[in-house]
Amino acid sequence: MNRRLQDLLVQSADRAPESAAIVFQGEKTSYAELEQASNRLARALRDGGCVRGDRIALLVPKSPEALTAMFAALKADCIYVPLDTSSPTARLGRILASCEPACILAVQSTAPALEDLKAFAPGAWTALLDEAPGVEARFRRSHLASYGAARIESQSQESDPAHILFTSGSTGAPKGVVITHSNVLHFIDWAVRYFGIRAGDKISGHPPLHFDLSTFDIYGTVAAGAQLHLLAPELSLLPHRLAEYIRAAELTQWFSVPSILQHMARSGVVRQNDFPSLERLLWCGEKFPTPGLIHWMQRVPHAKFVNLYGPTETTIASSYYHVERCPESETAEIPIGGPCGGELLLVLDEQLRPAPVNQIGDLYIGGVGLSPGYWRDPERTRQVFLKNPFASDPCSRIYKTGDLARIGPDGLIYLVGRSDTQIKSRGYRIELGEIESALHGIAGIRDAAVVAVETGGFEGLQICCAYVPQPGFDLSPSKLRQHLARALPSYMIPSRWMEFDALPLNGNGKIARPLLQQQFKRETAAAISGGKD
Amino acid sequence: MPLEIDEYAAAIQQILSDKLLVEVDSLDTDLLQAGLLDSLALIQLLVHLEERFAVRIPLDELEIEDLRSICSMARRIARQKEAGNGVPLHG
Repeated sequence: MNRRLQDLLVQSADRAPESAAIVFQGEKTSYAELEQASNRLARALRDGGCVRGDRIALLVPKSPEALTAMFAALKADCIYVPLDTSSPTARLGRILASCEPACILAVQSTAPALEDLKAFAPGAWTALLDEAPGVEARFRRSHLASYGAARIESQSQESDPAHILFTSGSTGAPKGVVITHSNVLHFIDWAVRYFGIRAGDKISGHPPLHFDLSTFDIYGTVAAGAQLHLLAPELSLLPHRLAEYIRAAELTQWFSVPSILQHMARSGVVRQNDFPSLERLLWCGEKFPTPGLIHWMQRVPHAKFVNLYGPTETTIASSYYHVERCPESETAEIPIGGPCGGELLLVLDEQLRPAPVNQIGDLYIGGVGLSPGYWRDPERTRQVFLKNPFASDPCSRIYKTGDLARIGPDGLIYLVGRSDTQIKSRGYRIELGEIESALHGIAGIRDAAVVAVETGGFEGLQICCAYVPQPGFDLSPSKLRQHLARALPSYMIPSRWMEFDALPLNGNGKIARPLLQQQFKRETAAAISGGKD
Repeated sequence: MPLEIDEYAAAIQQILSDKLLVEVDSLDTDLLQAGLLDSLALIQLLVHLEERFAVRIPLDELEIEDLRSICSMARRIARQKEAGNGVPLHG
């Protein structure tokens, strides 16, 4: 049977049209409303000339309108590209230039950026999901009423791409990970079954919509006919407000990156036996420090705690580990566990042979979540999507995650680190090379290197920049930050800076990054022991 | 003599620029929409504000709208001062 993501909505709207699908800022959107609004918008997109396989860029903040646009794009047989609306124009422009959208959907608050962005997507027309008076557009919200709300037939196949998610790229340009309907459906099928997600569930929508974690929230909710609580990004600034929200909304499932859970733990906002409705707490995207996990498990003993793991390239998550008992020690290591249904995780040595127990190797993933590859980048796709040496099927592939791992005597997989310079900071996946590439684009920079330093605080890794100005250039960290803010999103901008006459080199003539890391660490230690400045 | 709101605002802009290296063009810039403030930056900012204005601003008494712009933060500090929540300076 040919199943597509939009079919999940059609079925839930048929079953329980009046149930709330989305709750956002006190407003509820029912399944019937989401279904009908997305049908109207899909017809408007087709009317505008969009055909199967066209890309629809979404310059829309997290909102019911953004989700309507996602389903509409799928119903029109198109591929949606969710954009980070707080990213600088230059970076969004590179994404648009790469995905060549047929259309850009925006709202009044993001419309000012359209003027500059259009130059990067000369073939694209624009439309508005609200009224945005004065902004030029092919259609706006009030025009949508003239399109039919009845079910719309789509031609797309489950092997068609559903969305492209752009992540940080080491050479400076963000890379687009193509995800198919089938990729997402396989994970959703497994997750709905494993977690027992049902119509009565109230599910958090914490990650931003350009993060692949959000696709679990959206399609998991809609598959089960449950209720998705979209959380405004600014709520994360105030942990007590976030806790109040979970309590008042009686959320049954929480899913986020660990850093926000850590932030709530440190702020002391989780009370004993708090969140009585919460049945499961899931995290993904990076390691949840064990002391933070213990804090949560002691206070919310009635919830099921599950660690999910997986890069965007293998769709949402590929492995899971249910933490059945509260760890006894703060140094206990939490595994990423074993494969989710239909997934394959391998720890291999350099010759692609299985690494013996407890021996560190490269982590590879195969199976149903595997992306077809990077958008219009066969070379980069070939580098990391390899032929599966253990399969008789010549089309079977495995993805080299770049993560280092070992298999424990318990048969579970433990993450050890990275084999490259990709880092995770507050859940964001960042290629340090992308930051360096942006630095080298600044006039007056002779040399620059970016390293990540573990701080031990809840912020996790700090991004540190060592730079060498050209003679005659006065480059303060403040000025460099300003320059970078035009090229990079704020979470990629280094928080620590050090000026050098020349960067330290190792014996091979390469930048001695471990030395730089030590230097930044020493500086942090000195600042702490020296007290306030 | 309490400071005027625009004096608080100017000082906040200065702290953002000097201490957090965040340049904000206008006192009305929507910091949240622009993604200029994250949870770490917010905590650092509060520490600096408490030192600079000798006022205690507990995180759990803040509302999202207090953080919307430099102006709204300045109004929040002024209110805190008026309510007599200022702590005496050392000495």
